Amino acid sequence: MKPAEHELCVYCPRLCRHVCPVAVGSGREAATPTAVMSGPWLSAAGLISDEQGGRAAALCTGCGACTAHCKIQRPVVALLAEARAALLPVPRLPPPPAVEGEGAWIAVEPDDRAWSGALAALRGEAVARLRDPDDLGAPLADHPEAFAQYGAQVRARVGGRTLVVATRAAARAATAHGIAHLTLDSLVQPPVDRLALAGCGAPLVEGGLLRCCGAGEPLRRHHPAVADEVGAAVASELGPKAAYASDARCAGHLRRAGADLLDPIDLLLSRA
Amino acid sequence: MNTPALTAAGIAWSADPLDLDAARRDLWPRDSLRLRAGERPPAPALVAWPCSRADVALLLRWAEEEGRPVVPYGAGSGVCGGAQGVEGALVIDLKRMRRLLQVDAAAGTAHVEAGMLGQHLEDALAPLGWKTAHSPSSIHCSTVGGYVAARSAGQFSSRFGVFEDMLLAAHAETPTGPMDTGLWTPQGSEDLQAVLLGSEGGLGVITDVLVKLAPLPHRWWLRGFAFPSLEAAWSAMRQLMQSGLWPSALRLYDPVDTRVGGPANAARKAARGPSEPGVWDRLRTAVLGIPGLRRRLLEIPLSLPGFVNRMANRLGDEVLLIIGFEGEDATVEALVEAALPLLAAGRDLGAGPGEHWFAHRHDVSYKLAPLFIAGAWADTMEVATTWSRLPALYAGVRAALGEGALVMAHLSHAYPEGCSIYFSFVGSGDTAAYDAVWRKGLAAARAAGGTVTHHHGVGQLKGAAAAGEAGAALPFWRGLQRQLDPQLRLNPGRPFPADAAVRSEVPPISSAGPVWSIDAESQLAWVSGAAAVTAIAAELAAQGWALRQRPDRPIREFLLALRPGALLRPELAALGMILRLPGGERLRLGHAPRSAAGPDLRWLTLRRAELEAVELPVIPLGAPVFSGLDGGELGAERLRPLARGGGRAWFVGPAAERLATLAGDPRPGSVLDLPCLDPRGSAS
Repeated sequence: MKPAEHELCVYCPRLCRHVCPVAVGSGREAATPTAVMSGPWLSAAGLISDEQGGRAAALCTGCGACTAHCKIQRPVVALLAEARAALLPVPRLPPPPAVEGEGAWIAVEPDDRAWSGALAALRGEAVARLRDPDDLGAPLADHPEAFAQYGAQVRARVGGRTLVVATRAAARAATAHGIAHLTLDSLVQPPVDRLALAGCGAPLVEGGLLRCCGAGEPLRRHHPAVADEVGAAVASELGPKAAYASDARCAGHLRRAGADLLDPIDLLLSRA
Repeated sequence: MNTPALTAAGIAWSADPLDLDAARRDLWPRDSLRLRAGERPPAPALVAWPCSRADVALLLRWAEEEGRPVVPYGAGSGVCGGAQGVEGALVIDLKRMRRLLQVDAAAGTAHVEAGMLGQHLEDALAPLGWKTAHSPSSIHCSTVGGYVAARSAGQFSSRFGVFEDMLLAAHAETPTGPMDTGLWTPQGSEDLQAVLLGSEGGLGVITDVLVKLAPLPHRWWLRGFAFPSLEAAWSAMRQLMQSGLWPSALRLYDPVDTRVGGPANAARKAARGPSEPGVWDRLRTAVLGIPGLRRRLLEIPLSLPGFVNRMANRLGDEVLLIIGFEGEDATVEALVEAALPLLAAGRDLGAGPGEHWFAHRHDVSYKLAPLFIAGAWADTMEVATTWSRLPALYAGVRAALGEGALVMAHLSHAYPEGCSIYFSFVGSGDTAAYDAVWRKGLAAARAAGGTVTHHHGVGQLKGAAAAGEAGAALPFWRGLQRQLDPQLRLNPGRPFPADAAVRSEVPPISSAGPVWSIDAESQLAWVSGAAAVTAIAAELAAQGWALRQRPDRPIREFLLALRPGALLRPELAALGMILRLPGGERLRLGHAPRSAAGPDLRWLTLRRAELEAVELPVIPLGAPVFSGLDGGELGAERLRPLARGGGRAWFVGPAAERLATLAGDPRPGSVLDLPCLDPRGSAS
């Protein structure tokens, strides 16, 4: 952790708060990037506990909107990750699940929906499945050593085959683990009659809407209620509008908040 | 705490230390200084996020039952400590009330919830072709409710006015019930908009407002001019404003700010384009990259502020003026043509400085944090006065602040009657040093006849000084507070400290006849409140002056007959008032051109006092005037379609002659052609 690197944000008059999805969606002063960056600095100064400093640093989805807006481009996401690594314990994750079935492709299924069969039908050959609610160890990403160990276990299970992922978090983790992967979004035809919702680094398409839904790590794990508030804010903005999100994690989060959302898994299953 | 009651009512709340800690402070630099020393303001007991007026009302009832103070909180962008933490308080955080409820395109208005951030409001309005024209440098980090509570001003105020000029109505919840002001004032009730503005959470919790909109401009014309001296430049500003041209952007940088802040320098560098850093650039980057060395380098000038300020005086006298007009192509061209002769004393620097300023107009706040990290502190002080007193105010405050800090200034909110001065200063040391600099600055502002705050509000920083401006009107405020908030739970001690002394200072003005005095440079006259308007006009005419716009009935009657929502109309511009209270005590209220030292107590007091004298705008009797040709492409209403407050646009002097010619008017009129004002708000 580098508390001195946080200090520019501590004295900043919250100039990026209007682009932060967590601050805006939750309405919480504590969720402004300024307050979030102040947490680790305050704990280093002995003004709050390490636990509180770490929890502050976890009020973030890692979307990077703050840095994109900042005129002096503070690397907020990276600094917060370092702070969390120093201040918060390593999350306990079960070992990566075993791969089920045969096939050169492995469908990484993030929720209860089973879609490896539908993908096999689409492809015309068998597709294996990996039932993984933890996005290939994404919750460990702040802790390089634990994340690397987890990645090695995933690599061993995958064994050179190609993963098909339905979440941006799993795609990022696969990249970090050095595992070949495709996104399910790239294999299905996005619907033209729905608003394209982009977030978590997914590209914004013309006429689409760029919003972070709040389902990203570490917010979802450490502050689930705040993540729900952010999701509710985006769902409220969408209203009855039908939308499509390329990330199944975002879509699920927003569906729970009442939004009419489809994701690539829905499309695949509906076409199977 | 009976938090289950809140949960049962569906109101989100938190006692998580993360939320409580974040609500301890706003952006008062003194709190940053304390934070650096490991000190923090008190923490509240609970933060709650209402989503409706009803939620706010329920929270106020809850606080009453719990016996807790209440701090309303927007985005905490205030720089005076107005939203600072109060031990054990309930913080009502308005940021979930962030909807644009309605845009009425026919009326050009928007109904907005108070917790909406300024930038989000502009983002929502722009696709509809509208803007609020309120652009404070804090626009990314401040809320609409905060603009009302602390009487905000934006960067285009010279043209569109400050936020209260755009505010048509407001709703607030108080411990004793709802309060509607302006156009929403219930029939037969007193309009309290003037006191809700600037109340800083001390009267009610502002929930939603109705604001006037302006169309997005087709075109901007931006320019920089170099003037040989500050005096020459503010003379040009004064003429621009008194002519009625009212540029959207009008910013003058003093000699130090011209060189240090430097939109002109920055624009020149930008025009040169990217280049390889030279030896000097590389050396400077290397040196400043060493934190300890950077700190030591800053300590040297900060330890000798008086000497450095004197050296800065020798940098030269040349100053930069940024000017900008917006609107339809034809109107912009006409306004520019009329304005250029008034800028003849300056050297045209081209579009670069103006466009550079426009593109970077919200960036200045990024410069603050590095100064705090380097061991210094930085703050700003925005004062205002009439044009005639401006030199003394500038010199007095600059000298006072300069005893303990490095100082520069710019002037960015101009009026026909005067201007504000925005001092930026950097000092070193602890809170004692900081407080000493502020004490001297505030005393100097008052000694020079200026207001202590033009648009930053009061908070805790200026409470005593603001109470000094309110003087003997304070009991009226306190009476109203007791009526709406009997237990005084709302933001205790703000904007006026509970123990503030009630003292009134009445300036020594000759009080003989209908016209007491005339300030020719500021085009203001103190006139008797008891005299007939005709007698005032005749006396003014005998001295070569006329009222800029004449009330259609006796002045006090006119002021008291104003429709709700029209109390603060600047085209009326009843600025200062000398009032006699029922007990015989006299007081003076109102500082020309404008003060944000808490709520505007003039109207509250006027209803309960005798009007001895009032300060009104005047214009030279022989000056040509253009205010006609309604509907013509270059008619006055097209040239300035949103006169502040909705009154009729007028142009005076050579600019009026030029505009009349461009509009095809055979001859400009005289002051006698200017319309009377009727209290319903339209010219007759």
